[in-house]
Amino acid sequence: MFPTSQTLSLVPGHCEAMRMLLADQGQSWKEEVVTLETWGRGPLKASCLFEQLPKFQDRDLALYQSNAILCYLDRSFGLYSKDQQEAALVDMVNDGVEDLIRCCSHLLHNYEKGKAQCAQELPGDLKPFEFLLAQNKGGQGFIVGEQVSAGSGPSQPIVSIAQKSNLRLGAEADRE
Amino acid sequence: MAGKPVLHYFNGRGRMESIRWLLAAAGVEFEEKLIKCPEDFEKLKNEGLLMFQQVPMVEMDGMKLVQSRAILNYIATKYNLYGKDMKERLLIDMYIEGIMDLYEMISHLALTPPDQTDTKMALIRDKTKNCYFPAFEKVLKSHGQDYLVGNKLSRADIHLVELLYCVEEVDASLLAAFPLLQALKTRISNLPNVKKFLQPGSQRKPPTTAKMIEEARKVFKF
Repeated sequence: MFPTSQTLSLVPGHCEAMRMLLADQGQSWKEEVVTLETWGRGPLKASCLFEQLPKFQDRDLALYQSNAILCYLDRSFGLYSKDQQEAALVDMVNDGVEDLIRCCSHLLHNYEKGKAQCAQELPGDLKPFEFLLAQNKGGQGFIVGEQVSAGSGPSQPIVSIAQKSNLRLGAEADRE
Repeated sequence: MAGKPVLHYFNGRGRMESIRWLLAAAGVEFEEKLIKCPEDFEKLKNEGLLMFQQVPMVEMDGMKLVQSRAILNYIATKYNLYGKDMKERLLIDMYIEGIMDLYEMISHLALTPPDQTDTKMALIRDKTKNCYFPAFEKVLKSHGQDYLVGNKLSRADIHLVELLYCVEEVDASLLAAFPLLQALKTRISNLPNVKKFLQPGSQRKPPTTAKMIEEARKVFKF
């Protein structure tokens, strides 16, 4: 479906959720990794909408801004509920996840200093998602609705970052 | 019949201001319950009204919406300010992400320690003049239309004009080299709902001061 290529930054950061979403939907894609040296020198930076990566090329469409790209992919794959209230809940989950990703990303830059605090706070921060899962078919379903949604995908990077950092998250990590 | 949306936040711009702008531009009257002391905030949390223990929170259509981006998405969709199809929505999303990045840089100025203010201001000026304003001027020039996307008012126009007013407050000269942005600002400001919101006495909040930050710190303990 997507003869796409991604032009990525060197760090997994903003692209990981896209990769997981594409993989979950059985899509193939090409990645072009941009080194800091190439980025600094170049015409690529000037050609990007706000001089930022990631860039996602879908045929003749050049997409920027990771949230915009994720929303576009979510809609392309039919992962956004047409019901506005359900879509609002998906958005709330997405944004809550993004806040956590930001915290975990800081952990990767400052692991030793941040680990203890993160280990203390993360279980509490994951509680809202646990609550939502528990409310939906007693935790046997998805975060929102009857199928994988936009809200489920982006939460994967949090779990993998936390797992890589050997943080114990308990049942939430295992289920995701 | 649903009542007016109720906005829960402190008496400042913060992450609620864009929501106030969008509701006002859509012609939606709203109420505000201002959080004035730590006890007000604790009450909201204890009553389980805040999904991530954070504000903004907007009570609307039987829901307690949190996360400013989610709230804005819902309002824009409900009031047809989000493009007519997926491609238009994508463009709007790309533009507003850029707008929010610059908006956040400017909003955080009030939180910046005094010895770092000059550096931050230099970065804001550089990004505004050399990255963000040229990007949007180019969009408007490329199609020559009155609005950023789809030849129709969308949330992208509202958020951009809100940003232009913020930039003007920190350095009015930054807009001088961008005639199409200036024209957009004038055009949007003259829309009846926006004009009303820009009048003194509206629910629009004034620029954030150090005193407002101090009061917010006491309430939210950050």
